[in-house]
Amino acid sequence: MRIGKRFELTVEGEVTDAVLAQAQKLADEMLSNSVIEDVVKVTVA
Amino acid sequence: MRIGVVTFPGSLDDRDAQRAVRIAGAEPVALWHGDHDLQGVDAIVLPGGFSYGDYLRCGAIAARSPIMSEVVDAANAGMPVLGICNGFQVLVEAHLLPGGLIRNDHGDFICRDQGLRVENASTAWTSGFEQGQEITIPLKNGEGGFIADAETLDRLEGEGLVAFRYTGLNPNGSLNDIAGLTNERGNVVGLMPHPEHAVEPGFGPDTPAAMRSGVDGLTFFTSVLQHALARA
Repeated sequence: MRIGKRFELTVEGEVTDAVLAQAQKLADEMLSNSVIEDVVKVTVA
Repeated sequence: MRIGVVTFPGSLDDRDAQRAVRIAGAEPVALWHGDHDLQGVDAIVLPGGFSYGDYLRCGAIAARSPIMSEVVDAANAGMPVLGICNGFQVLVEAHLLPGGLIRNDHGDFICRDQGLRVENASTAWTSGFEQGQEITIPLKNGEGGFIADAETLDRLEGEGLVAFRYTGLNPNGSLNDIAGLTNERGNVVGLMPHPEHAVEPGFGPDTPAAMRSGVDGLTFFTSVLQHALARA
């Protein structure tokens, strides 16, 4: 069994590459702790 | 000596930490997570509890609260900082200490008097102990399992950065029985068990001499006092 968390972020305007990159940075640096968990993916829903 | 105790939303043991500071002979100073002001304190305690509900991860939000930028700067400048339980988790999330803390391997919250061995008696918070001394203080947590990658563990062991190790049965699955760490400089110490709950006869763990007479936790706070006096 694997368990995890999913975060849904809502942004104003279009989801550009820059916005995605920012989300990836947030995921890597704040929403997860690389010592204990992995960021599986950051995608546009 | 003035020792600041930071209160985050959800801190539980801030008042006990202040009391321990007072009993040790220092002046406790209440610090607030939302301030950018250490009020000129000489040392800092990050207390136990469930800061910000521990919602994202234990200690994760607290590690990014306003006062932590000052705490990190002070720690990097050599100020003694002690993280107890949730405070240890905050130190790890703030990258002042390495590794991570995860849910206890047996899945349950555990609360008991815990035997520890002092593995490094040369830090600001442990200098009053003998190297290798065995002490007993309360332990109470649900997410106290210490983990780190093999390389980090080797470094911690090789450089003497393991400050405390559990004796007897490992209570939470922590790798190498690690209960607490110090940084290289010895000013930052974090541990899962609670020294502030073992500072006054009548309110500490049982000892062979008498019920609830254990005061092994007091030495953490008297150590930092001595540390400050030695530098004055």
